[in-house]
Amino acid sequence: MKIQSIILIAVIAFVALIAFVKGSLYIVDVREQVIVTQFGRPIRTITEPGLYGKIPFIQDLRHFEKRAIEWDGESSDILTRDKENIEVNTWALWKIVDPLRFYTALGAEHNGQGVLDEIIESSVKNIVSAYILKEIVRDTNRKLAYTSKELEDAEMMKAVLIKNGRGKLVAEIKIAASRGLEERYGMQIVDVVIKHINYVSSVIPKIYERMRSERFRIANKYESEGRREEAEIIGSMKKELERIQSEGYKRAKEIIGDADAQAIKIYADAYKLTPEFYSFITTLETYKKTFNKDTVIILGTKGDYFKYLQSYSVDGVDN
Amino acid sequence: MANGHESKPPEFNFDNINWQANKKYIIPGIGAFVILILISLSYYTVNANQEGIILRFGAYTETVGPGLHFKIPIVDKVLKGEVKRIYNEEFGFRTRASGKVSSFSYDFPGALDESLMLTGDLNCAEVHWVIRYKIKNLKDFFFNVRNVRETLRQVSQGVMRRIVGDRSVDEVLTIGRTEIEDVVKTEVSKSLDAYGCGLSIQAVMLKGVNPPAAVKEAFNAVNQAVQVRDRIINDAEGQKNKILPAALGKKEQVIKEAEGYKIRRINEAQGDTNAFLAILEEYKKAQDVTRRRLYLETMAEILPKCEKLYLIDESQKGILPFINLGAESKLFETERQK
Repeated sequence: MKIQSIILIAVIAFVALIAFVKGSLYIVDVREQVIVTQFGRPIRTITEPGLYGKIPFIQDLRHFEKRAIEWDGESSDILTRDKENIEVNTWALWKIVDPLRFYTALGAEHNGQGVLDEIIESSVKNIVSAYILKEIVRDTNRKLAYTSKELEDAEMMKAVLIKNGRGKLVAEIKIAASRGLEERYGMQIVDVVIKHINYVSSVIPKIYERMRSERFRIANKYESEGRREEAEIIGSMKKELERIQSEGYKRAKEIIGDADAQAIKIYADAYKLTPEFYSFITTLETYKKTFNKDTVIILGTKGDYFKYLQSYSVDGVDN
Repeated sequence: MANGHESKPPEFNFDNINWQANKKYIIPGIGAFVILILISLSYYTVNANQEGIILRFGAYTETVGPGLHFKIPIVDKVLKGEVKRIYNEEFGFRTRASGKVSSFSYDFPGALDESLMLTGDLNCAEVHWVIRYKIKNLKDFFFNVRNVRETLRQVSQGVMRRIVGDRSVDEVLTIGRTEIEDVVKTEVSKSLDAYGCGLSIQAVMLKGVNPPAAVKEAFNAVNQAVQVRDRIINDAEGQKNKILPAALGKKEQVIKEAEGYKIRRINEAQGDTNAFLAILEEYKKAQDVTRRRLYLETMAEILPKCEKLYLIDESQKGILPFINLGAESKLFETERQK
């Protein structure tokens, strides 16, 4: 036989061997689970990793994810019980816990995603529309803090105590969506997450308007509060000023009056002893003060000053 | 066999290979080729910041550290993960270029979806944050959840929204930021651990939280109004604290002046009266002599001052009392003063 033929046969034999091995031996990874089918009918479920054998060509494999799988929902518009129009977007983590049932009911993973599309969306719609907006937004009844007392008071007025809150509602959604899921499809929801919740975009401008006017109102309140307190401070200051000034004036006047009275008394006490002598002395003082070079004096010769011009005796008697 | 003399380019012709001569090289050649391939499949390296997970026939056998390692080709599979690396996930913004001065982008498509959220008081805020995490358990990371990074992102957004939805807009913008970061870190860690993601959350950091652009002005107005109010009140207090003490000082001064006046007045009075009493003492001792002396002293002092002195005898009855009002009108005034 020619060498070429030998080589050709060897290669073909080698390839056939590989195909046989590949068709009858397979590895199940720790991250997957496998259904062995024979002519399309499932005959074996393998969830443990390892090396396994099957009949080549006749038996086939279907691989499924054993790990948690992500499901991403679409945004849906929901009307809450208090007629608020909101957008809710959810996300979930799920697992194939019974691969045989999953394969039998759905066949492939993307069908599982489709099941969740329906179930989770409807659970979300049902539950969200049964509650008021605050129940869905808030998680607990913790008191909201603010930078100013006015804002705190404004919020306290609107405050509504919630009975459930977001955490509890999400748990409700998970329970509702999980109902019958394992029995029918071999699926299990690990968790549901509300990844987005907001007013519908057409409503948002109104919300912004509300936020704006609320804040502007509070800004005005601050300013007028400032003005009011300013007026109070200045007013009381003016009153106090009046009081201080009038007290000072009164006290000073009292002292001056007292001083004058005391002085007058001192003078009077002294002078009342000899009123005549007092008038004599003070008149002489007055002459000294008022007479000046322009004064014209007309005196009679009988005056005391010129007495001795006439005679030197004491009333006519020589001494 | 065609050889040598033709000038045609050499062709590779299967039929022309000298099989007979090279027969003994074929089997070993193929064998060597296969062995080389197998050798290249039987070793691998793990980098310094990585760890490797070995799956033999699909099942976990061991975790290996950095270095050169051997594996059985085809049967063994290696999964490598960077366990020393700190990963960053950004929400609401993306870093465009990092360096000494990083630049960020806040309006890529989908940015508002990530950042706009409802606060507990039904206001809106734009929240931007970063989550830093590490792989803490490589087995968990590979075996439990298919898309760990996606899971982390979605859970983080859900948790941040839940926490922000339980806080006031002021707490989100300013006063509660550290608390929010702590709670989100705890809650995200709790969820991811429950799913078995094998991640360790290092930090949650809020990077820039602001009210939506349309209401920014209104929020700033509140801050400014607070400042204005405080300033007005401070100015008024300052004015009061300046004016009232000054007035008190003035009052003290006025009173002191009055007291000064009182002392002066009384001293004057006492001085005057003491002087008078001294003279009175003298006078009492010799009344007539004193009177005469005082009178004469006074006259001696005043008469020389006057330029015009008229001495008229009383018995002179004929003089017409005539007063020249024209040139000597000053006299008239003096007369009137007396």
